[in-house]
Amino acid sequence: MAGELQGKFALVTGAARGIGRAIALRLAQGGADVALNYVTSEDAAARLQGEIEALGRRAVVVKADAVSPQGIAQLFGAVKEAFGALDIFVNNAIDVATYGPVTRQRLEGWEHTVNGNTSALLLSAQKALPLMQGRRGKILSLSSLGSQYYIPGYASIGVTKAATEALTRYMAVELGKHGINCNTLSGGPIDTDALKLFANYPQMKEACENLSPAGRIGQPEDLAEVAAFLCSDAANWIYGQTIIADGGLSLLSVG
Amino acid sequence: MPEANANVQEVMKIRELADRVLASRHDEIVNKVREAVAEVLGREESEVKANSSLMNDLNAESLDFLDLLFRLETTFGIKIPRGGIQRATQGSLTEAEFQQNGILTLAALERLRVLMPEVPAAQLHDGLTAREIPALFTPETFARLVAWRIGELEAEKAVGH
Repeated sequence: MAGELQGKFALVTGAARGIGRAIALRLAQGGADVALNYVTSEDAAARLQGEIEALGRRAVVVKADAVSPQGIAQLFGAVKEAFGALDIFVNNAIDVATYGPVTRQRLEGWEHTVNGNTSALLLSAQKALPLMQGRRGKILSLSSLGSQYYIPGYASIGVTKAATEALTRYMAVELGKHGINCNTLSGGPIDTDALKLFANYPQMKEACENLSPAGRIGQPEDLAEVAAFLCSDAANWIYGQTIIADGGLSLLSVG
Repeated sequence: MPEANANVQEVMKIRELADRVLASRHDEIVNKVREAVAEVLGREESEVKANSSLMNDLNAESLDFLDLLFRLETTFGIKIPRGGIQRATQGSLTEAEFQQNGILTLAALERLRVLMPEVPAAQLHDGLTAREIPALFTPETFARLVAWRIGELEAEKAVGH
């Protein structure tokens, strides 16, 4: 499939590590030039830039807080300067300020997580629109099964992801009229550094290995393949959908 | 052993940045961290000593660390990578170079000793597991983490990013 993204300009937030990294690399393998956003993982971002350049693609590294209004302005300003236009925006980065049971949530962290990440998609879409004018744009957000199902400790993130999926449906209609496809990609547990921060990481991994049809936990590359498809012209007919790619995990119920 | 040197050098950069900031702002940073810890754990500030183990002495759970990091980010105007301490500890070591069946390797211990000089040497003993690392965290540890991030910010500003 290499080459299906030839000539496209892409921006991936939170691109230095994990899922964001795998998607950025996969888009470059498909032929896209990629802007790589990061906020703390400078060395990892620089390594990825080197890998993408070795593929013969352009890679621009942009340090910015992709969930703050100032950071978003900075980010899209840098994209405009580097590429002058944008075809693919992958909304991957989130800032999680709280985790744990519903009864333990503190308002400040809750608001930062839920409002911050939801507003970030809103503001980013507004900034992406002029850069995607006259092109066949794609806005892809990352979600997770926690938007629909219970994951212990995950309330703030689950609600954030549900909002992302809902906002994506509204964007799909309104931005669809500008030739932009907005969709959400929802994965099951993916084996990343972020997942290892969860207290129940070993149980999640084991559940995937023992129970899911795929028989293993997801790797970032598993999602990156689907992301590349959703960012390609092959997905021009898909509007506002949440595509679940989880190795079959969500098909199971207890009992 | 050039390999061991490279291993230590990687974390020395973090240590030096933190040391430089703490040299002039140690008490101020530690006190603000103690305040944040007290707030997050619902404790009196007087109960939170600079060297209290958050988990062992103050009954913190790992999920409290996320709240604490967020509070420190807003207090100091910095960004802290989630899982920052463990991530900095592992650095460019592969999983196998970092731990074997959960037990930290000598290379990992060597890095921890550089990164966490506030922890008594006896606590960074052979056989320590990766899961036990969070129990070592004290307000001093988080003060070092904050100082490292402040140091990075200052270094960036100095080169005019």
